[in-house]
Amino acid sequence: MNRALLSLLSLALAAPLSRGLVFGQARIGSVARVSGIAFLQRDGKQSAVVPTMAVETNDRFGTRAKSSLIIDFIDGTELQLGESSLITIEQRHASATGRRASLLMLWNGKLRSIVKAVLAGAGDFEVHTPNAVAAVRGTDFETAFVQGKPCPEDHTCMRYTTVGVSSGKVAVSNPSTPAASVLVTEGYETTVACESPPTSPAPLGMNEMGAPGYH
Amino acid sequence: MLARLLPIMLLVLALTARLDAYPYSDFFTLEPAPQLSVNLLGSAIGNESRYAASHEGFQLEQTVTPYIDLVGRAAAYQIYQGGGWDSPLTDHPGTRPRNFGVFLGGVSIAPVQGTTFAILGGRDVGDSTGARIEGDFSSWIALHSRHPINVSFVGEHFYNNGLSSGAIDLRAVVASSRDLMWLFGAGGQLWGGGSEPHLMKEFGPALGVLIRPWETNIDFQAGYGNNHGYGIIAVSRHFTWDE
Repeated sequence: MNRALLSLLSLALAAPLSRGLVFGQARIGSVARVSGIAFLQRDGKQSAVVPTMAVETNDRFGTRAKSSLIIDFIDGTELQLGESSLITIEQRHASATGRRASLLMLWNGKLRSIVKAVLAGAGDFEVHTPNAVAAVRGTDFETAFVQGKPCPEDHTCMRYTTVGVSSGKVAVSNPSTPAASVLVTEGYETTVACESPPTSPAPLGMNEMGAPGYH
Repeated sequence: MLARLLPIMLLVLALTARLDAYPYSDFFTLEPAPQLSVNLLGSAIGNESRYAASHEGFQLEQTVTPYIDLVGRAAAYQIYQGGGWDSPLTDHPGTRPRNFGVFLGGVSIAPVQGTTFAILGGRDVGDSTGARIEGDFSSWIALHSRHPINVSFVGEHFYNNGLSSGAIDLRAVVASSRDLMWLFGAGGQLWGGGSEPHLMKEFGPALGVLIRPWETNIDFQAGYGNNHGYGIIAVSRHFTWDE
């Protein structure tokens, strides 16, 4: 079965069993820094984001153009949301063994995730986009979901996800082709175009790389 | 050289100009998220027996469509002694450095991912006053692998002294980390025509490093050829703005 679905299923099943440990609406982190305009959607209401504001499960954070947002979780994990981006913190769960699992949905834009290494492990931290799942095996990676722009890998595809890893390892798959998972290591990135499986990892920033210029 | 490049360019245009051609239906569609980029360039060239020069300048690139960029470059050249593969001047035994500016404009086309082809033309100002034309080709092979390989070729013709030159480079990514990407390979230059009656050549190993946090490339090439040992070092820094 799709590993991402399995993770979701296990989280969903575990939640009611460990009700006392589920964070629910409790504070799971706070806003560390806001640059420009950012907003929070909680319980159907929208408000402006300000530093030190509490972060709770099911919060949806967004940024406008030329704006950014940094969220610090209690466990030390840091999220850096780029401009014109939108995320939902869908799960933040503590099991009976004390292990936490996070599932973030990136609806648009760019998200850098710096996960505490001591907490990293299979399925502990996942970033989902509409066409990709990035499951952390390490600590520092960036996910971008782009819509309305041709994918560099396939110009007929107008929605794609890129996952670049600065340290550690991240397993990336497309829910449409879950068997074709790619493990991306430090200094490499992959692209998921529409319903295609992730590309083989390439060095970070290859799309911008030109030829050596001696004059 | 231009005669060889022209058919290639025409072929690329012919293949890409069909508006209904898959996957180039957006070839002439304006880029929805245009970018302006600036590349600051500096390089120094030393040759054991004949040539010493340095260049510095900048190159502007404006995206027009997903496949086409407009390119402009301004650079200052200093020729300290002798003549070499990228000099539009006739070698003479003068004692003062000769200085000139180079102004080029043109278009860059990216027909497939990882491959760019640019044609530039312009004129020198200063101790060199002639026109020049340049064709740049770069292609990444095995882009989605741990060790992509780049093949590049720069062809130039200087109307000031009638010299034509070609710079060839073949290199592979040997390592990539969060902050650095290392490239290793080989390169060389061929030149002749005008005041240089013989085909001159030099080749040697090339090393490059991309320092990601600074968006800076440092390239080094050293080797041997008709003018004996030589070395080239080039530094470039890249800036990009979303519009």
